[in-house]
Amino acid sequence: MFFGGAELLFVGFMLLYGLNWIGLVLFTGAMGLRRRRWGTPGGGWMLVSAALYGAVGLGLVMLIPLGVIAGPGNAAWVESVALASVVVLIAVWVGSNAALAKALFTAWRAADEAVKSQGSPGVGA
Amino acid sequence: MNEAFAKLLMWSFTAAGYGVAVIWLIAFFRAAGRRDSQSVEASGFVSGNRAVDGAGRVMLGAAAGVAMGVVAGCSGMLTLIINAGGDVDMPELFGLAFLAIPVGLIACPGLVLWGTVVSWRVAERDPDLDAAAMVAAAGSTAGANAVGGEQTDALDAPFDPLDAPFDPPTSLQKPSGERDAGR
Repeated sequence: MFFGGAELLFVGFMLLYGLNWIGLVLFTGAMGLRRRRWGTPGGGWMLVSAALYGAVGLGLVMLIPLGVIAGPGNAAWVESVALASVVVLIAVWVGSNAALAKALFTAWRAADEAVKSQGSPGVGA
Repeated sequence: MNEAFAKLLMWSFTAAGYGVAVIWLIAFFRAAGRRDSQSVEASGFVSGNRAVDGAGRVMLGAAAGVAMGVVAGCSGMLTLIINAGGDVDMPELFGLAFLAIPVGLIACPGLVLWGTVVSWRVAERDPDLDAAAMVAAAGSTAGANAVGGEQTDALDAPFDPLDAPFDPPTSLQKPSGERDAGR
Protein backbone atom coordinates (compact mmCIF):
# COMPACT_ATOMS: atom_id res chain seq x y z
CA MET A 1 0.00 0.00 0.00
CA PHE A 2 2.72 2.39 1.00
CA PHE A 3 4.79 1.73 -2.10
CA GLY A 4 1.87 1.83 -4.51
CA GLY A 5 1.29 4.00 -7.53
CA ALA A 6 -0.21 7.05 -5.83
CA GLU A 7 3.08 8.70 -4.99
CA LEU A 8 2.14 12.00 -6.58
CA LEU A 9 -1.00 12.37 -4.52
CA PHE A 10 0.95 11.29 -1.49
CA VAL A 11 3.66 13.86 -2.13
CA GLY A 12 1.15 16.63 -2.64
CA PHE A 13 -0.85 15.73 0.40
CA MET A 14 2.17 15.36 2.64
CA LEU A 15 3.65 18.64 1.43
CA LEU A 16 0.35 20.24 2.33
CA TYR A 17 0.49 18.56 5.69
CA GLY A 18 4.04 19.68 6.33
CA LEU A 19 3.31 23.21 5.20
CA ASN A 20 0.26 23.32 7.41
CA TRP A 21 2.35 22.53 10.43
CA ILE A 22 5.18 24.82 9.54
CA GLY A 23 2.49 27.46 9.28
CA LEU A 24 1.10 26.50 12.65
CA VAL A 25 4.51 26.70 14.30
CA LEU A 26 5.08 30.12 12.78
CA PHE A 27 1.60 31.24 13.73
CA THR A 28 1.96 30.15 17.32
CA GLY A 29 5.41 31.60 17.64
CA ALA A 30 4.48 34.88 16.04
CA MET A 31 1.41 35.13 18.22
CA GLY A 32 3.53 34.53 21.33
CA LEU A 33 6.01 37.20 20.31
CA ARG A 34 3.38 39.68 19.24
CA ARG A 35 1.35 39.34 22.38
CA ARG A 36 4.36 38.63 24.58
CA ARG A 37 2.65 35.52 25.74
CA TRP A 38 5.44 33.06 26.28
CA GLY A 39 3.96 32.61 29.73
CA THR A 40 0.62 31.70 28.16
CA PRO A 41 -0.87 28.76 30.03
CA GLY A 42 -0.41 25.69 27.89
CA GLY A 43 1.60 27.60 25.31
CA GLY A 44 4.56 25.31 25.84
CA TRP A 45 2.45 22.24 25.16
CA MET A 46 1.08 23.96 22.09
CA LEU A 47 4.58 24.51 20.77
CA VAL A 48 5.52 20.92 21.63
CA SER A 49 2.48 19.74 19.70
CA ALA A 50 3.32 21.93 16.72
CA ALA A 51 6.90 20.66 16.73
CA LEU A 52 5.78 17.03 16.87
CA TYR A 53 3.30 17.59 14.05
CA GLY A 54 6.05 19.23 12.04
CA ALA A 55 8.31 16.25 12.74
CA VAL A 56 5.63 13.83 11.51
CA GLY A 57 4.93 15.84 8.39
CA LEU A 58 8.60 16.27 7.60
CA GLY A 59 9.35 12.64 8.38
CA LEU A 60 6.61 11.42 6.06
CA VAL A 61 7.76 13.73 3.30
CA MET A 62 11.31 12.49 3.72
CA LEU A 63 10.12 8.88 3.57
CA ILE A 64 8.71 9.37 0.08
CA PRO A 65 12.02 9.01 -1.79
CA LEU A 66 12.69 5.96 0.34
CA GLY A 67 9.30 4.58 -0.57
CA VAL A 68 9.80 5.31 -4.26
CA ILE A 69 13.25 3.76 -4.24
CA ALA A 70 12.09 0.74 -2.28
CA GLY A 71 9.91 -0.54 -5.05
CA PRO A 72 9.51 -4.23 -5.76
CA GLY A 73 12.82 -6.01 -5.85
CA ASN A 74 14.67 -3.72 -3.48
CA ALA A 75 16.54 -4.72 -0.40
CA ALA A 76 14.31 -5.98 2.35
CA TRP A 77 16.07 -3.93 4.99
CA VAL A 78 15.13 -0.69 3.20
CA GLU A 79 11.50 -1.59 3.43
CA SER A 80 11.95 -2.62 7.03
CA VAL A 81 13.47 0.75 7.84
CA ALA A 82 10.65 2.53 6.07
CA LEU A 83 7.96 0.53 7.84
CA ALA A 84 9.61 0.97 11.23
CA SER A 85 9.94 4.72 10.62
CA VAL A 86 6.25 4.96 9.83
CA VAL A 87 5.46 3.15 13.07
CA VAL A 88 7.55 5.68 14.98
CA LEU A 89 5.95 8.59 13.15
CA ILE A 90 2.48 7.28 13.94
CA ALA A 91 3.40 7.18 17.62
CA VAL A 92 4.68 10.76 17.38
CA TRP A 93 1.40 11.75 15.73
CA VAL A 94 -0.54 10.43 18.72
CA GLY A 95 1.82 12.30 21.02
CA SER A 96 1.27 15.56 19.16
CA ASN A 97 -2.50 15.15 19.49
CA ALA A 98 -2.11 14.46 23.21
CA ALA A 99 0.08 17.55 23.63
CA LEU A 100 -2.50 19.66 21.84
CA ALA A 101 -5.26 18.39 24.13
CA LYS A 102 -3.03 19.06 27.14
CA ALA A 103 -2.46 22.64 25.99
CA LEU A 104 -6.19 23.10 25.53
CA PHE A 105 -7.03 21.78 28.99
CA THR A 106 -4.35 23.94 30.61
CA ALA A 107 -5.70 27.03 28.86
CA TRP A 108 -9.22 26.16 29.99
CA ARG A 109 -8.09 25.84 33.61
CA ALA A 110 -6.40 29.25 33.43
CA ALA A 111 -9.50 30.80 31.86
CA ASP A 112 -11.61 29.33 34.66
CA GLU A 113 -9.23 30.81 37.22
CA ALA A 114 -9.44 34.20 35.56
CA VAL A 115 -13.23 34.14 35.43
CA LYS A 116 -13.44 32.92 39.02
CA SER A 117 -11.13 35.70 40.19
CA GLN A 118 -13.51 38.26 38.75
CA GLY A 119 -15.92 37.44 41.58
CA SER A 120 -19.41 37.71 40.18
CA PRO A 121 -19.54 36.68 36.56
CA GLY A 122 -20.91 40.03 35.52
CA VAL A 123 -17.79 41.98 36.41
CA GLY A 124 -15.10 42.75 33.93
CA ALA A 125 -14.68 40.63 30.83
CA MET B 1 11.29 -9.51 9.23
CA ASN B 2 9.44 -7.37 6.73
CA GLU B 3 6.20 -9.17 7.40
CA ALA B 4 6.55 -8.51 11.09
CA PHE B 5 7.13 -4.81 10.49
CA ALA B 6 4.18 -4.59 8.14
CA LYS B 7 1.97 -6.24 10.73
CA LEU B 8 3.33 -3.91 13.41
CA LEU B 9 2.51 -0.97 11.14
CA MET B 10 -1.08 -2.08 10.76
CA TRP B 11 -1.50 -2.65 14.48
CA SER B 12 0.07 0.67 15.38
CA PHE B 13 -2.11 2.47 12.84
CA THR B 14 -5.18 0.85 14.35
CA ALA B 15 -4.17 1.66 17.91
CA ALA B 16 -3.08 5.20 17.03
CA GLY B 17 -6.34 5.92 15.23
CA TYR B 18 -8.48 4.79 18.11
CA GLY B 19 -6.17 6.52 20.61
CA VAL B 20 -6.53 9.82 18.78
CA ALA B 21 -10.29 9.28 18.61
CA VAL B 22 -10.40 8.78 22.40
CA ILE B 23 -8.32 11.92 23.04
CA TRP B 24 -10.67 14.07 20.98
CA LEU B 25 -13.76 12.36 22.31
CA ILE B 26 -12.68 13.42 25.81
CA ALA B 27 -11.97 16.94 24.56
CA PHE B 28 -15.34 17.03 22.79
CA PHE B 29 -17.28 16.11 25.90
CA ARG B 30 -15.30 18.51 28.07
CA ALA B 31 -16.01 21.33 25.62
CA ALA B 32 -19.67 20.35 25.50
CA GLY B 33 -19.74 20.33 29.28
CA ARG B 34 -18.25 23.82 29.41
CA ARG B 35 -20.88 25.14 27.09
CA ASP B 36 -23.70 23.36 28.81
CA SER B 37 -22.84 23.99 32.46
CA GLN B 38 -22.50 27.72 31.96
CA SER B 39 -24.87 28.29 29.13
CA VAL B 40 -28.18 29.23 30.68
CA GLU B 41 -28.18 32.02 33.22
CA ALA B 42 -24.42 32.42 33.36
CA SER B 43 -24.08 32.60 29.60
CA GLY B 44 -21.39 34.78 28.21
CA PHE B 45 -23.94 36.71 26.23
CA VAL B 46 -25.90 37.65 29.33
CA SER B 47 -23.46 38.17 32.14
CA GLY B 48 -20.01 38.55 30.65
CA ASN B 49 -18.73 35.19 31.83
CA ARG B 50 -16.36 34.41 29.01
CA ALA B 51 -15.18 31.00 30.21
CA VAL B 52 -17.32 29.35 27.54
CA ASP B 53 -15.69 31.34 24.75
CA GLY B 54 -14.17 29.15 22.11
CA ALA B 55 -15.74 25.95 23.41
CA GLY B 56 -17.90 25.63 20.29
CA ARG B 57 -14.87 25.89 18.04
CA VAL B 58 -13.16 23.24 20.12
CA MET B 59 -16.23 21.01 19.81
CA LEU B 60 -16.10 21.27 16.01
CA GLY B 61 -12.38 20.60 15.94
CA ALA B 62 -12.67 17.70 18.35
CA ALA B 63 -15.47 16.20 16.26
CA ALA B 64 -13.19 16.35 13.21
CA GLY B 65 -10.49 14.70 15.32
CA VAL B 66 -12.80 11.90 16.41
CA ALA B 67 -13.86 11.27 12.81
CA MET B 68 -10.23 11.24 11.70
CA GLY B 69 -9.23 8.84 14.48
CA VAL B 70 -12.12 6.46 13.95
CA VAL B 71 -11.55 6.28 10.20
CA ALA B 72 -7.82 5.73 10.73
CA GLY B 73 -8.44 3.03 13.30
CA CYS B 74 -11.04 1.27 11.18
CA SER B 75 -8.87 1.38 8.09
CA GLY B 76 -6.00 -0.12 10.05
CA MET B 77 -8.29 -2.85 11.28
CA LEU B 78 -9.59 -3.48 7.75
CA THR B 79 -6.03 -3.82 6.53
CA LEU B 80 -5.36 -6.32 9.27
CA ILE B 81 -8.44 -8.31 8.31
CA ILE B 82 -7.54 -8.27 4.61
CA ASN B 83 -3.97 -9.23 5.43
CA ALA B 84 -5.22 -12.17 7.47
CA GLY B 85 -7.11 -13.45 4.45
CA GLY B 86 -10.49 -11.98 5.26
CA ASP B 87 -12.79 -11.21 2.38
CA VAL B 88 -13.75 -7.53 2.65
CA ASP B 89 -16.07 -6.21 0.00
CA MET B 90 -16.80 -2.50 0.25
CA PRO B 91 -18.82 -0.24 -2.01
CA GLU B 92 -16.79 2.22 -4.06
CA LEU B 93 -18.45 5.18 -2.42
CA PHE B 94 -17.23 4.03 0.96
CA GLY B 95 -13.80 5.36 0.05
CA LEU B 96 -15.16 8.85 0.61
CA ALA B 97 -14.98 8.13 4.33
CA PHE B 98 -11.21 8.33 4.07
CA LEU B 99 -11.58 12.03 3.33
CA ALA B 100 -12.14 12.37 7.08
CA ILE B 101 -8.39 11.88 7.58
CA PRO B 102 -7.06 14.85 5.56
CA VAL B 103 -9.98 17.01 6.66
CA GLY B 104 -9.34 16.09 10.28
CA LEU B 105 -5.61 16.68 9.96
CA ILE B 106 -6.26 20.28 8.99
CA ALA B 107 -9.51 21.11 10.76
CA CYS B 108 -9.01 19.46 14.13
CA PRO B 109 -5.80 21.15 15.30
CA GLY B 110 -6.69 24.36 13.53
CA LEU B 111 -10.01 24.78 15.32
CA VAL B 112 -8.59 23.56 18.62
CA LEU B 113 -5.78 26.11 18.36
CA TRP B 114 -8.33 28.79 17.66
CA GLY B 115 -10.33 27.80 20.74
CA THR B 116 -7.18 27.73 22.86
CA VAL B 117 -6.20 31.22 21.75
CA VAL B 118 -9.67 32.39 22.78
CA SER B 119 -9.12 30.84 26.21
CA TRP B 120 -5.77 32.63 26.44
CA ARG B 121 -7.52 35.91 25.76
CA VAL B 122 -9.91 35.15 28.61
CA ALA B 123 -7.11 34.12 30.93
CA GLU B 124 -5.17 37.31 30.33
CA ARG B 125 -8.02 39.42 31.70
CA ASP B 126 -7.33 38.61 35.32
CA PRO B 127 -8.26 41.78 37.16
CA ASP B 128 -7.20 40.90 40.68
CA LEU B 129 -3.92 39.44 39.47
CA ASP B 130 -4.40 36.06 41.00
CA ALA B 131 -2.26 34.75 38.21
CA ALA B 132 0.72 36.28 39.98
CA ALA B 133 0.93 32.87 41.60
CA MET B 134 1.32 31.36 38.16
CA VAL B 135 4.22 33.65 37.37
CA ALA B 136 5.80 32.81 40.70
CA ALA B 137 5.34 29.13 39.97
CA ALA B 138 7.01 29.63 36.61
CA GLY B 139 10.08 30.95 38.38
CA SER B 140 9.98 34.52 37.17
CA THR B 141 11.79 37.09 39.28
CA ALA B 142 10.59 40.13 37.39
CA GLY B 143 6.95 39.84 38.34
CA ALA B 144 7.15 41.80 41.57
CA ASN B 145 7.83 45.08 39.79
CA ALA B 146 4.93 45.00 37.43
CA VAL B 147 2.16 43.36 39.45
CA GLY B 148 -0.26 46.04 40.52
CA GLY B 149 -0.50 48.01 37.34
CA GLU B 150 -4.02 48.21 36.03
CA GLN B 151 -3.13 47.56 32.43
CA THR B 152 -0.91 44.58 33.04
CA ASP B 153 -1.68 41.13 34.24
CA ALA B 154 0.69 38.67 35.73
CA LEU B 155 1.41 37.08 32.40
CA ASP B 156 2.81 40.37 31.19
CA ALA B 157 4.90 40.85 34.26
CA PRO B 158 8.24 39.47 33.10
CA PHE B 159 8.17 41.78 30.10
CA ASP B 160 6.63 44.88 31.55
CA PRO B 161 9.72 46.55 33.09
CA LEU B 162 11.41 46.42 29.70
CA ASP B 163 8.39 47.63 27.82
CA ALA B 164 7.19 50.37 30.11
CA PRO B 165 9.28 53.28 28.78
CA PHE B 166 8.23 52.62 25.20
CA ASP B 167 4.59 51.87 25.81
CA PRO B 168 2.17 54.75 26.40
CA PRO B 169 -1.12 53.00 27.21
CA THR B 170 -2.88 55.83 29.04
CA SER B 171 -2.35 58.50 26.42
CA LEU B 172 -3.70 56.16 23.76
CA GLN B 173 -6.75 55.19 25.72
CA LYS B 174 -7.92 58.57 26.99
CA PRO B 175 -9.04 61.54 24.97
CA SER B 176 -6.37 64.20 25.05
CA GLY B 177 -8.35 66.55 27.28
CA GLU B 178 -8.86 64.03 30.06
CA ARG B 179 -5.34 63.30 31.16
CA ASP B 180 -4.62 62.84 34.81
CA ALA B 181 -3.33 65.95 36.50
CA GLY B 182 -0.26 64.17 37.75
CA ARG B 183 0.98 63.22 34.33
